[in-house]
Amino acid sequence: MIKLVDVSKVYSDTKALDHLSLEVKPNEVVCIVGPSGSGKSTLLRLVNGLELIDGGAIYFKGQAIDYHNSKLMAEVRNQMGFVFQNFNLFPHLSVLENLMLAPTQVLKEDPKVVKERAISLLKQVGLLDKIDAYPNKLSGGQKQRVAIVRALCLRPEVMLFDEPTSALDPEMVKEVLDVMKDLAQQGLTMLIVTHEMKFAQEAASRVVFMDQGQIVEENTPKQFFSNPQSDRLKEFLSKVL
Amino acid sequence: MSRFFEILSYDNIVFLLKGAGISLIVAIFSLLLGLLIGTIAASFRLSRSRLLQLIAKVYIEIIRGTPMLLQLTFMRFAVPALYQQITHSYLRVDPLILGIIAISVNSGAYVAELIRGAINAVDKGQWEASTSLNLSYYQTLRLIILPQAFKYLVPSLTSELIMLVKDSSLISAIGAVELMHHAKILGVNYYDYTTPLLGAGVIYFLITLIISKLSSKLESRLLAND
Repeated sequence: MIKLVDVSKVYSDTKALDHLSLEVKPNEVVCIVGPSGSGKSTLLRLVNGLELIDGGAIYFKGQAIDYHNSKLMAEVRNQMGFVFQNFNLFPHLSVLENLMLAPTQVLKEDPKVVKERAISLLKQVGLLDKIDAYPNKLSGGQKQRVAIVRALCLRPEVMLFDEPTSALDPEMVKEVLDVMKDLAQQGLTMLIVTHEMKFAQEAASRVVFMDQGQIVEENTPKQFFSNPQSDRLKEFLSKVL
Repeated sequence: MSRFFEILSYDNIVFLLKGAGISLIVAIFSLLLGLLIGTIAASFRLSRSRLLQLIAKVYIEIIRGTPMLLQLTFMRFAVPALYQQITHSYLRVDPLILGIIAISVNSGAYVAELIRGAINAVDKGQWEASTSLNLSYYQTLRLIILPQAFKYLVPSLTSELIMLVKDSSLISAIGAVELMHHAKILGVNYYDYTTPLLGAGVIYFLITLIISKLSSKLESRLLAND
């Protein structure tokens, strides 16, 4: 589904990504963990075209992403959902308006159809009663669930999550992770940057450890946590578990 | 001051208020026209074209770098003269209209910078979310950024309107009739400038006070959704 080959990204002097390769297959849930500043978020932002690539290539469904062709880039983005750490809901729009904006404005879908989809998705995440609320009236966990639904409303084939629970109060982390587990069970392809080790253990099909812009180790969750190979991962796990 | 009540008679106060009405009209029209010019200049400034950026920059710098009175007088005398040189026919425009145009062009330069600042004040995450949802640049600007920027713009547009109410007095210098001009007429009639100017001052002050109060109400309403 997504394939990164020899990808590099440089910010002024520092190498955020250093000749990194990774493949995400259909229906896979890949969790990326690692210390902050290891390039995890950068990787995700490159896949979605929020940042431009400096070296290598990223393939989506076998086709290399062309960052300078905005039409092709848009087609790729239409099939991906992106969830931000800080939700980035539109504060001047109600929940329903947040959900309906892109499908009606970008994909020119029939508002009636989109509204039905929005309602059924909101029901799924348990927020139907907030349909007319404005984002400022929602808790962090509710905001993030709405943000997930906003991305799902475009019916993406892949969901990208950039530390979706890092800005949440501890008691709200679970409600968001539960929604993500649901999606994983439904067979959605997901690429998730996270600090939630327990979630990675339970929901991921594969866990990837990144450090200094490179993938140090990747494995099934079971092997990853019980039998780490590299010293760097051993050290990291000893700190976070 | 001995003839205070004689000068500020009912008829004269109405006369002053009529002038104030014109001043207010000049200010409001200039704000709206300035907002239009400012929006265009700001979008030039933020566009990717170097040429458009340069045009906006030159316009903004020239307007901000020269006195408004000079711009007004230039509009009144130099523009018709240039027109005559080129077309060999006379250009007759009401000084009031010329005044509104000159003040709008002036205000547009300041408003352009206010709009640019307000757009930059909107959280960068809003741009990123819009990009990830595939909204185009102009859709993002129109549907997401400008509605939020407007909130940051209200306080500064209020002070712009207050400035314009006061600056509209300058157009009396090019022969337009407004509050300041009416005050001067009363001054000539009664050989006393002090009282009419005091009256005009009170009216200017009340107008700006009301604008400022109305805007704080609007502001708190806009902030209710934060």
